[in-house]
Amino acid sequence: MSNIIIILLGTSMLYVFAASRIEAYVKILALQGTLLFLLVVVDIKEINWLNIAFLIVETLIIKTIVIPYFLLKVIRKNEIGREIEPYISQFYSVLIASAIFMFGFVAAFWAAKTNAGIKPLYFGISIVLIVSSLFLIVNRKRIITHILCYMMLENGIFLLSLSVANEMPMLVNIGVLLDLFVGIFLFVIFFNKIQEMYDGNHIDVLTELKD
Amino acid sequence: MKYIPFILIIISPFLFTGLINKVKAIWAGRKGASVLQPYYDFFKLMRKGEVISKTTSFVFQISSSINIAATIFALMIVPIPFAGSVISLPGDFVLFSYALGFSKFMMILAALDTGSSFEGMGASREATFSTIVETAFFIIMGSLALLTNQISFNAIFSVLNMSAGYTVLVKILLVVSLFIMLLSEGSRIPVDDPNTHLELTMIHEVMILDYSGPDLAFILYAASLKMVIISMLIANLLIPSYLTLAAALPLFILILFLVFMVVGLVESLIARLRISHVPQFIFLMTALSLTAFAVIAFFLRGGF
Amino acid sequence: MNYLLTGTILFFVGGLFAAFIKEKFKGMLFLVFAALAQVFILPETLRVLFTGSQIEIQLFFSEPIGISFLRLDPLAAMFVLIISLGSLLAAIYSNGYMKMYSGNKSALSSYYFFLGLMVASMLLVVIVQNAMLFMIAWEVMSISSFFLVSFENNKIEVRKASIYYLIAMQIGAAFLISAFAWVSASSGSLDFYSFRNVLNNSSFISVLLFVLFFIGFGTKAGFVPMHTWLPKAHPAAPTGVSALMSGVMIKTGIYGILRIVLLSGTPNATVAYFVLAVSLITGLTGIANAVSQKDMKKLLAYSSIENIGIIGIGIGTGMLGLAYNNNTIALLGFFGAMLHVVNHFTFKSVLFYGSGVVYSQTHTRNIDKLGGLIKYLPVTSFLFLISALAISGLPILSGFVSELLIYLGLLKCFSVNNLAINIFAVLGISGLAFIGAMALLSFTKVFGIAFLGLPRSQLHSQPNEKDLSLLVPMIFLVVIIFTLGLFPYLAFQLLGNAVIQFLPANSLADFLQIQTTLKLLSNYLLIFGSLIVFFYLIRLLLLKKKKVEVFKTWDCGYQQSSSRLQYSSSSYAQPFLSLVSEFVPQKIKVEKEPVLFPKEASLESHSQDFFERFLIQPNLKFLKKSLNLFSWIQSGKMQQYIIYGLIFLVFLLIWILGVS
Repeated sequence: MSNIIIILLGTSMLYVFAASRIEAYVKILALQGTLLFLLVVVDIKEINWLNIAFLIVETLIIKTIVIPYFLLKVIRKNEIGREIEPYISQFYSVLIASAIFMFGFVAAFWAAKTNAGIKPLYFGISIVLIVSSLFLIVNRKRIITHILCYMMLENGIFLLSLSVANEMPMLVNIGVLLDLFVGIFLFVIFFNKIQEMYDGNHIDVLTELKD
Repeated sequence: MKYIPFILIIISPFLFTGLINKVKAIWAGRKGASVLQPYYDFFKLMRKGEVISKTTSFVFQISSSINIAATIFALMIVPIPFAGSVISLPGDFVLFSYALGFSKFMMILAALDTGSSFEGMGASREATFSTIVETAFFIIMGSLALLTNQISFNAIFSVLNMSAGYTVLVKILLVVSLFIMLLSEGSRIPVDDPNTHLELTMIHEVMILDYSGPDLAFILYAASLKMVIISMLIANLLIPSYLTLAAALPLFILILFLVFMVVGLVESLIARLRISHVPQFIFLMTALSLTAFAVIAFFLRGGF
Repeated sequence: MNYLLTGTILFFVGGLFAAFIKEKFKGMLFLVFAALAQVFILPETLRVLFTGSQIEIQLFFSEPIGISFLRLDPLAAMFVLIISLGSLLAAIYSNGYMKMYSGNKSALSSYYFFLGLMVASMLLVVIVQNAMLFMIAWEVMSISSFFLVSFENNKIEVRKASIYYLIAMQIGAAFLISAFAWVSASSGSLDFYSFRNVLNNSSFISVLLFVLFFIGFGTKAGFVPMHTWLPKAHPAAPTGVSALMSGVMIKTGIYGILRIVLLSGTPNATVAYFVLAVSLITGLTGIANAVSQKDMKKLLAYSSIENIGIIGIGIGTGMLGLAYNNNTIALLGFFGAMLHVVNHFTFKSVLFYGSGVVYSQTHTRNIDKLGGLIKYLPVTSFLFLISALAISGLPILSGFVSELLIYLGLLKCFSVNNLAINIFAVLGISGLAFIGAMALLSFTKVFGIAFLGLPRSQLHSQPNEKDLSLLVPMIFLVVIIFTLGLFPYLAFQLLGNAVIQFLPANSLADFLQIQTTLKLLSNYLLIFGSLIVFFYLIRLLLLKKKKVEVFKTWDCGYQQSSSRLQYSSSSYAQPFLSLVSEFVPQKIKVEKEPVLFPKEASLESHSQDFFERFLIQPNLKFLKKSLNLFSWIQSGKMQQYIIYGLIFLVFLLIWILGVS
């Protein structure tokens, strides 16, 4: 069951590569949240109610509902165009995505060979999530896409924390939550400010901040 | 008893200044003033009151006293053959040079204290030329220290014996070098002309334009004494240490007289240099003393 | 040791508290803490200095610092003494001086905070004997002083100067870090004592290490060609800080060099010659540039470089003595250097404090705009004059004694039967004499032009010296200058134990000999002093019943005199500078109408630092060009930066999984 969920997570990432509309990104984000929630539920081995409650709040409520809702609102309010405007065209992006997938699986098998405590599939997909979202950040012009991909990166890290035996997920979770909070916080402030200041929402305008 | 030669020197300097003037007068075919004329001037000044510029401060008033005190202190350090020096300690020639430097410092400040552009000019030149003279003086003393392996005036001159081999060459070089120092520090021709006033070319005389009365007397005395001190150094170089008292003392006095007569002759024969050429002339002193050092080092340490 | 640490902490806490209270009480509070710190620091320090004992404690830190020793030996104690007293004086002085900046609360807060931090870190630098902890204290010292230099950071030249200073310090620190890393890697421990095994041999490595240390510490001390930050940073800082930096902080560089010499045991002769040569060049460059300066504080900064050169000549002489197994030379050299450290602290602080009084009253540091200040600031002028005499090394004042000792050390080198040391000795003494004569030139210039004569420009208000807190530190120091000048054997008792650390055990005879020489010298100097008094009394006696008329300066018949006609600092220095124009390049700009009787004309002259012009600037230009090639790394594009992260991540993954 958990394997299916993880495969679905990976596929959602592929979809992101192919997608050309920002709202699709938000939806994928929500989907990933749900998948992570399911994964957590399936994966539970011991009943630690505090931990479970926390994970549910984080994945289902924050990742699936609050953040996507919030982002959608920002997108609509600021009348950001729908196009995601990549530097490299969609076609090549998908090619690169498959390369990243291959790298992820190679890395996973490598890791499984040396470290017994790692679940290869979890590990591989989490690497894929992290690297591909980094790639997407590089390849997109808009600030909003950066933030969206940043969220996906966080999902990847969340998954990574699950892949390493359940030793200190609490700590990782708190870290992730904090990151999320800071990310959103900064994003909203920056976005509104940048909009006022530069009258545009392309990342290129930030070059002027260089000394 | 020990201090008699010292006291004799203290009262003598104007005699030597008078001698220079006499030599110059005779060379020019004049009869000239008495050799004792500088003494008359000195006592006349001592009896007079003063005119002090309202621009000046206490610096102006203490400088003349410091000048004479430092010069007499310097005299106390320089040995007289067989009598030795009044005070002596390792490295006393550093004390000697820096005591004179102290008086120079204060005299320069006194000149600047008047706010006169002429005196500022003199001060500036005095300070500039003394940079070269002091450096060369220390090279001379370094050479002597290397030669004798001693580091005080007394000790150096009590073993110094430059009458054979390469040391004769060294002796000539150092004596000429010290003679240039005498001309420069004593502000004589060709460096400076003590007889002109209010010229753009003066050094020492222009610095003391505003002094009068006892202050001026102090300064004139100190200037004469300084020349005597340097000529004493020359005499010490020339007198070998093996002479007896009976031979050394007359020789000492003779050399002092000779040195001042030569100064008088130089003043009669040579015109003063253009001010821009003076540094080159004084720098000759550095060159000569460095050569002397090189000769000594070559013969002592070169394995010859 | 605990008292000493308490004192150190008191300085820091004083600065911290002062930062948070009402503006009016900041200075006072810091002063109280600084005074309290003396109570803790001085007894212990003086005991170590006079008994020659050593106090040591161990502190335990987690890795990477590990066990660290704090040791207070006489050498460190001597520097602790200077730092502690200097900071107290700076605290007193700041009380009066910083009134100029009242109203600027946040700046004053940061001033006192960083002042406390800087003092505390300086104290730590001299007692810590663990390389890692030492570097931390060293860096804190550099950075806190950087913030002090940039106090008036609304001025562009201050900002430039402080950044220049920071960069210079970091370059120095880079040398130090590499030297420490090397030496602790090969000795296997961070403790200074363990470095002995590495430094104490004549292999090429230990020579190289010494040079690395020398460059690192020399940058702080201001050895040529690493000196260029001094004339920039000193004028920029508030005067209390300039005095502290010049009198005390740069001495930590000297401390470092002395510490390394102490750890190296018998030095290599080549190293000693290297130190001597660099120091000679430093002294000559410093004072030759001082002659050409118009800015009072810049002149003092260059004179600091000169004095560091003199100290270095002393150290070099001492090292030569050790290298040639001649205890007398070693003793004279090291004693001269250490005494000059103390002396330079006293007179340079007075000179800076004096220039601060002038600046606070006239708002200019350009001596060509001043003149006649002795009429308005008699006490300051007198104190300034005494220190100017002392820094020129003139007798009956303290500067003479230390220079005499170094001269004696160099003269003793003539008795060594070796051509190289003889040549270096003659270069040393003639160089010192030349330095002395140039010091005379530059200090007659600054005192004669700024304080004597007539005012050269209209001032905003009549200068006064009502503020006692500005005068007290100067008076205190001038008393020390006289004491050490007239009774030099006192200095010997104070510093003897610090000097003895450098010498082999069998040098007692030399010690006694120096002591008698210094006692003799003291007598002679007293004779000199009484001669001066004697002649002054005679003068008074002669003039007692005579008429003393006060009239104008003799004007050679020219009636239209004006104070602008007086000799200015540039005209005073011109004859000398024209002699050394190759080494002190001058830029002279004359503007004149090309007619027979020009109505308006102007002349501007600027001097340049030889090493900055021909060594630092071309290198900086080259660096700028070559480093520009890498500027694409910082493109300002977010994507590019993320790619760096991505590449790093992938590499890391491959490294961890594949290699390990």
